[in-house]
Order: sequence, then C-alpha cells, then structure tokens
Amino acid sequence: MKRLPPFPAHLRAPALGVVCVGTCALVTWPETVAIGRRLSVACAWVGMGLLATSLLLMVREPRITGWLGGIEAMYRWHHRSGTLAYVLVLVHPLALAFESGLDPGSAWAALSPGRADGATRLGWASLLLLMLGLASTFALRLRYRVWRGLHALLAIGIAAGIAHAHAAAGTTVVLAVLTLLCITALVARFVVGELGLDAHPYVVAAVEPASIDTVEATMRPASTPLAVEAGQFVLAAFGEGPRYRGCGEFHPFTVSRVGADGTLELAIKALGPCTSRLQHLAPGTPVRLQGPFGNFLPEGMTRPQLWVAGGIGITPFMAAIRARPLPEDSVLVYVYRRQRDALFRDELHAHADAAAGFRLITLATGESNPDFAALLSQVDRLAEREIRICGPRPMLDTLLLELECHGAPRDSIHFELFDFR
Amino acid sequence: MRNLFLISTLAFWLAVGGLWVAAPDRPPPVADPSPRDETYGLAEVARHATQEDCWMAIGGIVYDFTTYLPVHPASPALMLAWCGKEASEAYRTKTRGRPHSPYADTLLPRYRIGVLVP
Ligand SMILES: Cc1cc2nc3c(=O)[nH]c(=O)nc-3n(C[C@H](O)[C@H](O)[C@H](O)COP(=O)(O)OP(=O)(O)OC[C@H]3O[C@@H](n4cnc5c(N)ncnc54)[C@H](O)[C@@H]3O)c2cc1C
Ligand code: HEM
Repeated sequence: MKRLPPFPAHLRAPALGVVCVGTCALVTWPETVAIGRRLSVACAWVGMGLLATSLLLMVREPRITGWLGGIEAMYRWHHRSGTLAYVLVLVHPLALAFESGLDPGSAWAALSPGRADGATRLGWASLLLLMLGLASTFALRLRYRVWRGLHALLAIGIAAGIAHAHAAAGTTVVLAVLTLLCITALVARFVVGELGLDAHPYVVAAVEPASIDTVEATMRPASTPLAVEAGQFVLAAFGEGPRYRGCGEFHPFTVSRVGADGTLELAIKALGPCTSRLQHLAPGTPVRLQGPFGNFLPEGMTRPQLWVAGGIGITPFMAAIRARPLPEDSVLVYVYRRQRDALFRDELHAHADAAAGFRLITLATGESNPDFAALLSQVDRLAEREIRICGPRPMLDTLLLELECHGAPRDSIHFELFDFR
Repeated sequence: MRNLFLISTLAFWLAVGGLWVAAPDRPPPVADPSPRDETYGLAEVARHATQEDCWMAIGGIVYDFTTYLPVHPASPALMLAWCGKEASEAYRTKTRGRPHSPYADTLLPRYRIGVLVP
C-alpha cells in the first residue's frame, strides 16, 4: 500500500482547531428558525471549540509540541484561536438579544445583567473575564509576572463560560467532551507542567562566570539524559543545594553546549528575580529539566547562513558552533552593549580563526541602537542566505525592516525571541 | 490580533451601550412578574390549537405560546403538534428523552396566562 505523505507539521495546530470547531459546529448546529438565535448558538459553540483549542495549544509536553510544529507555532495559533473565540463570544449575546427583532427594549431585557438569571450572570462574568484577560495579554508593557497573573484570568473566564453553558443549555455530550478537554489541558499545563511531574533530574556539576551578569552552568544527568540538539531549549527549575536555594519555578533556557557525555550547559543572564538569584548557583544543586523544545537550528542546514545574535541571544548559535561543522560560508553577527557584556568572545574568535568559511562580525553598540544598515553592507549574497536571528524584540523589528530593504526574502528569515508573549 | 481585539471590544460596548440608552425605562411586558391566575379547563385549552393561537398546559399551568412559536430553537412543527394539549411529558422529554434546559424554565413564566383546573 502506498503511504500517505506526512501531514505538514506547521499545519497541525490549525488543523487541531478545525477539528475541534468543526465537531462542535456539526454536532450542535442549531435547528431554530429565528436567525438571531441561530447565529447566537452557532457563535457560542464555535467559540467554545476555539477556546478549547486555545487551551490545548498551551500544553508544553515535548512530544506534543514537537508533533504540532514547535512551541512558537503552538503559541501563535493559541493566540489566534483565543482572539477569534473572543470575537465570536461577543457576537453570541448580541445576536441572542436581537432574536425577536430590532426592538431595543426586549434586546436590553435579554442582555441586562441587572434583571438576569444565574446562567446569564455566569455568561456576563465569563465575558468580562475574557475581556480583561485579553486586554492584559495585549498590554506587552506589563511586567512579566503581572502579565502572567492577569493572563490566568482567561482560564477562569473559560471555566465560567463552561459553567454558563451547562446552566443555560444543559449538559450535552459535546459540552461534556469540551469540559473534559479543557480540564485535561489545564491539568497537563498547570499541574503536571508547573510541578514538573514529567521532568528529568539533573545535578549542577560546575558553575563559571561568563560575563559580568551571566553564569554558565554545567549540568550532569541524574538518570536518563534528555536528547537535546544544539539550538533547542529546556525548561529548568533549580532546587535547593548545599549552598544554594533555587526559586523552584521552570524557566526557559537555550542550551549553550550539548556534551557528548549527556551533560548540558546553560548560560544564564540576570534579567529578573529568578535569574539574578541564579548568579549565585553552586555545584551540587539539583535541577529538573523539561524538554527539549524548539527547532531553531535544525540539523542538515546546507544553504549559506547569516546568523544575528543580540546579547544573550548568542546561546543557540554557540551550541551549534560547539556541536557540529557549520555550512560552508556562514556569517555570525554578534551585537552587544559593552565589551564586558560579550559572552564567549575568545572562543568565538578562536573558532573564526580556525574554521575556513566562518566569519565573525562583532559590534559593541553602547547605549545606541546598532547600525544594521552598515553591518549588513558587510555581508555579501544576502538574498541567497538563510537568516536566523535571536535577540530582543526591538532589535528583531529594526533588523526585519533593514533586511527587507536589502532584498532578503521574508521566507528565508527565521527568528527566536527569548520571550513567549 | 491586537487590533481585532480592540475593534471588536469597542463595537461590542457601543452596541450594548446603544441598547441601554435606547431601551425604554419601563420593564418590558414579557418580564411582568405578576401572573394572572385565571383558571382554564382542558377543553378551553383545546380551542387554542393553531399556529396563530397556541396554548398549552404544562405542570398544571396554562401558557400562551403564540408569540414564542417563531423563535423556538427546534422546528416549529415539533411544538405546533402540542398546541391545545396537556404537554407536560413532551416538555419534560423534548419528545426525545432529553429535558429542557434551566434556561428554558426561566422563559416559561413570561408566557403564563393561568392555571389548569380539572
Ligand atoms: C525560548 C527561550 C530561550 C531562552 N534562553 C535563554 C538563555 O539561553 N539564557 C538566558 O539567560 N535567558 C534565556 N531566556 C530568558 C529567560 O527565560 C528569562 O530571562 C527568565 O525566565 C527570567 O526570569 P526571572 O524570574 O529572572 O525574571 P522576570 O522578571 O520574571 O522576567 C524577565 C523576562 O524574562 C521572560 N520570562 C520570565 N519568566 C519566563 C517564563 N517562565 N517563560 C518565558 N519567559 C519568561 C519575560 O520576557 C520577562 O520579561 C530564554 C527565554 C525563552 C523564551
Ligand atoms: C453577556 C454574556 C452572555 C449572555 C447574556 C449569554 C446568554 C446565553 C443564553 C441566554 C443562552 C441560552 C441560549 C439557548 O439555550 O438557546 C446561552 C447559551 C450558551 N452560551 Fe452564552 N451568554 C453570554 C456569554 C457567553 C460566553 C462568554 C460563552 C463562552 C465562553 C458562552 C457560551 C454559551 C454556550 C456554549 C451556550 C449553549 C448554546 C446552546 O446550545 O443553546 N456564553 N448564552
């Protein structure tokens, strides 16, 4: 029998959404004659299907994320399905209000929370929670921890929406399945994930300062090692050692070296409370790792490469340089603020001297923004290169504009941001 | 995505705000909480068995569903069959063994016109 070609990984997350939504829509398609009610009920169920999809796309389990095309793709569709669900859920009460014609009196009577029954109040609660949760989601200026707390409102909003649907329409098979899917996703993410029930134990074997605000930690597996490749990242929770108390939460870090003996190295920059504490990490500290995730620097790259690293964004490239020979004709542009911030400088220069076909361009920018126009003019064959960028968001934004001006095709540009928002 | 959120939220509140302003202050007649407890026999109920005039008796209460028929979620024929009849069992099982939702229960009082006497 002829085997079917594999379903493309980048389409699997949206396909999951289509399956969820399609099932909801088909099974619950309203038979009602009133057009307003038909629209309302359809929006409600399609919205619920999308909300369930959005929750499922938040689960961070290495096999699932790998199958769904990586965490970035999942998060992209997590955002999209969540926002689309919200729009439909807004239409739902409005359409219902107009089911008996365009009379504002009866429409307001159907909507008004003041005169409402319990089910409608739950609906309003859900709607307002979703609204607040999404408003904060789009407020990127919030501090990460505040942002994350407010983002959790969305999970409560979905729970209220499910309760509302049970109260308003009664418990049906579809609703029971949707409820179960949502609970499974929440448990997988917040119980299994955050408590690290599926994490692999490692022990910190060595800690070296790598720059003024960065340490590099070597970790030895305490049982079966993770199969990590250069360019991938892990979620790490550092525990309590003889001379160190970790913050116990899982944070994402890109491995900076994959050792042949199963050891992994992480370069950790002090960017907030947890990573600042990690600057005092001591050998012997137990650490739990989840992963690996990501596919930023896949094996088997053959086209000439242009890599651009900003600050701590050097880690995936460092791991690749340490792990395997690079494609012929690779250029690494490494920008950082001050000389003393630069990581792995000696090692990178030694590599550039030794490896023919690898060129290193470094630039200390100080407080000003890097002049990417000047930097890119030093790189030939820009249109032929695969371009991989890892650095802070403002850097990425300016660089993308500049690359467009220099005629680099958009589909040969890949990037990784050290921020999931 | 951010713009979609902003625009839809704005449109939603404009619509809700518009309704609030446009709605008359008096509570709409359907929400009238004082039931008129007229009494009717099944024979009287049976005289209202058409699409233009549809009464039903459910759980000892008599309802006039004439205005509700066109907005009922399921096809109107299903409901029409019970006009003029004692429909408690049909309401409880939706003729398919599934009960109505609590939401539907909250709709009933709006259509109440009296109580059933044997
Ligand atoms: C894919 C990826 C790879 C990364 N690789 C490295 C690396 O190799 N070296 C390194 O030093 N840092 C890396 N980071 C950044 C690192 O995860 C954060 O600096 C760290 O989580 C900060 O936590 P904090 O408590 O010290 O600071 P906070 O004040 O809590 O956060 C500071 C910033 O870190 C980010 N952040 C915090 N917690 C999380 C979290 N749980 N998940 C995602 N982002 C978070 C947010 O952008 C936030 O603005 C990476 C991040 C991502 C997403
Ligand atoms: C202002 C807010 C809301 C109001 C006034 C409202 C009102 C209602 C009403 C009256 C019904 C019953 C419709 C029927 O039985 O035919 C209903 C059903 C439903 N609602 Fe809402 N709702 C609101 C918000 C929400 C939200 C936020 C969600 C999802 C998160 C949601 C999901 C549902 C679902 C799935 C149903 C079942 C539809 C059906 O099969 O009948 N609603 N809603």
